Amino acid sequence: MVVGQYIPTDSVLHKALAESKIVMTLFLIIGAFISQSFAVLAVLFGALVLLMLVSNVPLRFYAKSAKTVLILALFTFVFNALLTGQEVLFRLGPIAFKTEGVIVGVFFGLRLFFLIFVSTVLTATTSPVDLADGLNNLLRPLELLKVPVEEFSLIMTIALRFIPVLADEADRILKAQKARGLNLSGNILQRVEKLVPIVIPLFVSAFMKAEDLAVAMEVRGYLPGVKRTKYKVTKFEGVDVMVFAFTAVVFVASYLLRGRWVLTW
Amino acid sequence: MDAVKPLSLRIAKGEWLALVGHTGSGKSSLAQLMAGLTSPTKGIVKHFGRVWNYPKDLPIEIRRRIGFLFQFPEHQFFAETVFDEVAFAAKNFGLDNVQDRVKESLEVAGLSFDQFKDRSPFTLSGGEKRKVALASVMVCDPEVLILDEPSAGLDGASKKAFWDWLRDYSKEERTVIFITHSLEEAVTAERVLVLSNGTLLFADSPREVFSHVNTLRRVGLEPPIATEISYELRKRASFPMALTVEELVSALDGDL
Repeated sequence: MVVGQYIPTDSVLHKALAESKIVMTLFLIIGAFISQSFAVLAVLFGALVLLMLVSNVPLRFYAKSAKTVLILALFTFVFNALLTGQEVLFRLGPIAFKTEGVIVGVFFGLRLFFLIFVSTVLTATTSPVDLADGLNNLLRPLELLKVPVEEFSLIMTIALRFIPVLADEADRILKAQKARGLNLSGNILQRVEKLVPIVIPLFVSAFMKAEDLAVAMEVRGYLPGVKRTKYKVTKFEGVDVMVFAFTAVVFVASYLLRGRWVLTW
Repeated sequence: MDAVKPLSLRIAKGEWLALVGHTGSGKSSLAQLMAGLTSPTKGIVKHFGRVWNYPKDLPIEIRRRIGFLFQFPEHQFFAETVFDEVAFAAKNFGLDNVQDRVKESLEVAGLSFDQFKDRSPFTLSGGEKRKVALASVMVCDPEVLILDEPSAGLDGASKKAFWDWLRDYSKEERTVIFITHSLEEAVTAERVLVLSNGTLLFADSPREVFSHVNTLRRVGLEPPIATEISYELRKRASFPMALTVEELVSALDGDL
């Protein structure tokens, strides 16, 4: 599981506030959705590559996540290529790839790639705790509408915090059941049935951990709905100005280029 | 970072082996290599005298012949009844007479078949759960039994009963490898492997290994209390090395 993993390095991007990075990611994603223009996509990919380089996260980490995304993107591409349009571009045996479909497929495949990678940059450069904290601060205005933002962000933090724990647990359970002869091959239905010996212990352990955690939190004085102070006070600094400037440039460029090289079918 | 550094090791049939090391020393990784549950990034692991290509053609038969009990094995329970839980492996390996096998392994583990077979494994006591977990591995009659901290979380009485039982079980030509971080438990082994930060420090008889009291302490292992006392006494006068309380007492008796 690479998507969502935090890779601590001391890059500029790591130093920026989670809030800035969330806003940036949000705007880049909006940028990808305001039009179906290849020009915009090119700009966004340029921005993405720049972010990846600045993030100082080893490129092989991104390459690793690319493998999983590639399957998804390929899936999108193939579906579009086969089902969209009339004019046949080329044939692979009985399968006909349509010209328009291929173009549409490439576009949506690339867009998917962009969406996932831009989020990966966010999670790779922002620790889960900061991420939840940042989201909490950004959503704070909703408290006026009586939305329990603080609790919501706590749930997020815990969920993110427990991803690696549960992944380890799942790995252990899988090995244990393999040692007992579990063989995960077979068709989809058989495989789903074979997941029972893995899913049930995983749920049991998740519930046990949740119970322990709840008790541990109460023991240490946690009360929902109470105003909390922060151990780490964050400040808006020069890096954040840079992040916002970068976001503005990329977003405005995306907006201006929205009419160029537009996908047509 | 390598979990286990290069090492060469041969385990004979019927051995009774302890694998000790501090937390994170690589003992669990080594045990999983022994069981064929992971493959080494470098080097080879032979099971029953030959290299199997993991995981592609590691035959299911090898899996059956090597039983592996994970730490807190009761955390892997999933079935509705003790019977189904224990029968799981036997069914997976396509063994015949599942009912007889389940019955036998439950009895060997010290649980009455009739009393327990229809109960939910989740409602048992800690000691009973551990026994069901053991039965669920033994049901395939493995020649090699690898146990990861098998007595962790058991109370004193259950612990003792467990070790007595395991020693009996291992007498029948079975290879037993157990992981522990307690040297007290490792005393009974024929051979003790000591791992520290992935390096194999010792692979020798307990008497030989435990004579290196300072090295053991340095890698975060606490020698048995009897060994520590005799070690301190040896500093003053000639005194034999004691591994157990009994040995210590008889050594002291000789002196008095």
